[in-house]
Amino acid sequence: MMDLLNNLSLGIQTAVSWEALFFCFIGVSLGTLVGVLPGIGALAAISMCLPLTYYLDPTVALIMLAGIFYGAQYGSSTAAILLNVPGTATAAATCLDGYPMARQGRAGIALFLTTTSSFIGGSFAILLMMFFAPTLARLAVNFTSAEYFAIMVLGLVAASTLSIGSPLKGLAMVILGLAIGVIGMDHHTGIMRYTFGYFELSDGIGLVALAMGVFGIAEIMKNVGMSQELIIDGKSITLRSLIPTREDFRTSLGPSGRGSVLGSGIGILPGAGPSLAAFMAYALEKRIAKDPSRFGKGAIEGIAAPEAANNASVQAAFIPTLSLGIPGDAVMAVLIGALMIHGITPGPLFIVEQPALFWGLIVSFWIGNVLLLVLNIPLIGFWVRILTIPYRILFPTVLFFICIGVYSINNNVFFVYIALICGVLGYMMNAYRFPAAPLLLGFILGPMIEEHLRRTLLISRGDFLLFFQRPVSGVFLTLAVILILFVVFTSFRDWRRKLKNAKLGS
Amino acid sequence: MFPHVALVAQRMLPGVVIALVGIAMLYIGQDYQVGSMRRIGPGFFPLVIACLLIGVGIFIIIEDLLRPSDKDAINLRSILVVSAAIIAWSLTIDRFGFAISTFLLIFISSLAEKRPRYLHSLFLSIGLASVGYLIFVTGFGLPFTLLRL
Repeated sequence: MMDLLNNLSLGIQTAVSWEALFFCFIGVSLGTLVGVLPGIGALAAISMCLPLTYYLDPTVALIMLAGIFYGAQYGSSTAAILLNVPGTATAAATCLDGYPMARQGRAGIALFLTTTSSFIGGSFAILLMMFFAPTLARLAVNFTSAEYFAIMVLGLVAASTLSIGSPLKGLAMVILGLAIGVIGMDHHTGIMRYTFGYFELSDGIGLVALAMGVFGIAEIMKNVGMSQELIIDGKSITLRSLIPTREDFRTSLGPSGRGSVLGSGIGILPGAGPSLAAFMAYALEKRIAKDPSRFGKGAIEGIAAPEAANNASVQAAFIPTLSLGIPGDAVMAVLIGALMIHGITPGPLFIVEQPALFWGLIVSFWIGNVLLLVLNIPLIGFWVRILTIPYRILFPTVLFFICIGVYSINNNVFFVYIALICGVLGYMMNAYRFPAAPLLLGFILGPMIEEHLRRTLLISRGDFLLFFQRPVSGVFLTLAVILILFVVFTSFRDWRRKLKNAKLGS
Repeated sequence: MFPHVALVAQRMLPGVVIALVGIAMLYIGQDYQVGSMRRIGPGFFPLVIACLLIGVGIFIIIEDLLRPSDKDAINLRSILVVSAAIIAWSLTIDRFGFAISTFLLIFISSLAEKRPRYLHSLFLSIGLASVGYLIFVTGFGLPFTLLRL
């Protein structure tokens, strides 16, 4: 207990400096902004800010980038409620009951309750992180390359198969990400792999170029030219219309609690992200409700649970990331990338070796969540007005920032072209419903997986069975195999049914 | 008959592309040494990934043939306009400087709108060029020149 207090006071010292507070504020405001605006997600914003963090202290950089991520979860419910368009994908479940509430003239109440639920979810997961992450890290100190290899493989398989949509397509994107990750110089032998003679590619195509292409440029290509001026009655959202009745507030507490627990659990799992958490929380509330027919027509439970769940999941995703060094989803992978830029490799020793960073980050989460409460309740009118920014101004501006950001990687236009190619790839993936997040995860984990595979085989003298002889790696790899078999099995069952139907049809 | 063939071919496209990437990986990577099990070489990991890509590509072809998945229409115009804007920026940034390349980026990307407003684009590019110059060159010290003719 004393330990915890000592650590917390260290964290407070770190997070309550002017610089840290300022960038925490910048991060959560920017996060709310991109969360509010449909068409730009947290990932695009984080990757756009990555080059700027070269100039910052790593702690401050991480505080800002993390702030964008959880800030976006707060902001994304605004567009979901007012426009029936989720600001980021994670708020899709909030549309289901949020928009009906807005049509009943209860938009203000919905906005207030999603913010408080978000706060409850976030806080719960931060508490969990404070106690759980150091414990997990202590367990993981004895991990060898075999365990890391196994956990990463499981993470990749889970990320592709547990996402929403076709698991086969997710798997394909993970493997494509691994393939892109191979590009560059092999560190053991110095051989250039798949660089096509371009010396610039010797360090790989780079996280910034890939993420900005796939998440930034692709999104712009998708949305540009489709812009319609949105008409929102911002004036009806007054401070008074926000205040829920005591009854409304009490109704939201139970679902928020359940959403927090569910979301935290899903957030810790590798691969399962906040979107899944939100939809599962929604489904849970609907199942246990006395009168499920109210859902979809403006039920308070239907907005409180998903919002608590996606915020909890976002915060809980930091647990495996910071205690094991294994990112649970694409955003965490980008954050790990940001740390690696500063020469810090997250792993079990991270919390011990970088206590100021870890505990400072945790304290900044509290500060950030409180800031978000302030930003999103009294200032909600401002964000509603932001929604009316025409896209004809927004998209060129984002494009401008992307170009400068990618250029600044090494002050060269080479990676701008690479980002453009990645953008076209991302656009095509999007059009054919291939998820982009697994691609990024595969790209970042790929080189680490190869390294751990090589080391393990070196130690075991080429014996693959070592992976299954060590209990932890054995369990994880078995789980991964089971997941893949499950995907194959369900696809085959699907196919047989389709074939049978086709025969009956003809 | 022929429209049908075209439709099936289009449905197979994503899986075929993925499998082709795998085959290309095998082809380019045939010179990388695979090594032995004890000491795997730089060619081992790419080999495994290439095979996985080909395999998953074939599975996706089967899936798409049996159950056509949803697909958005591809808006060639917006791809081309955004690409042109980025390429124009990249070609001019070192030679002509920040102001001109920003103007080209904003102006060309505004052509993606159904009814471009040229005056708007002009004001936006002037605004972005000056704010951007202050932030990135004055603030972060990026090596851009404002104007070079």
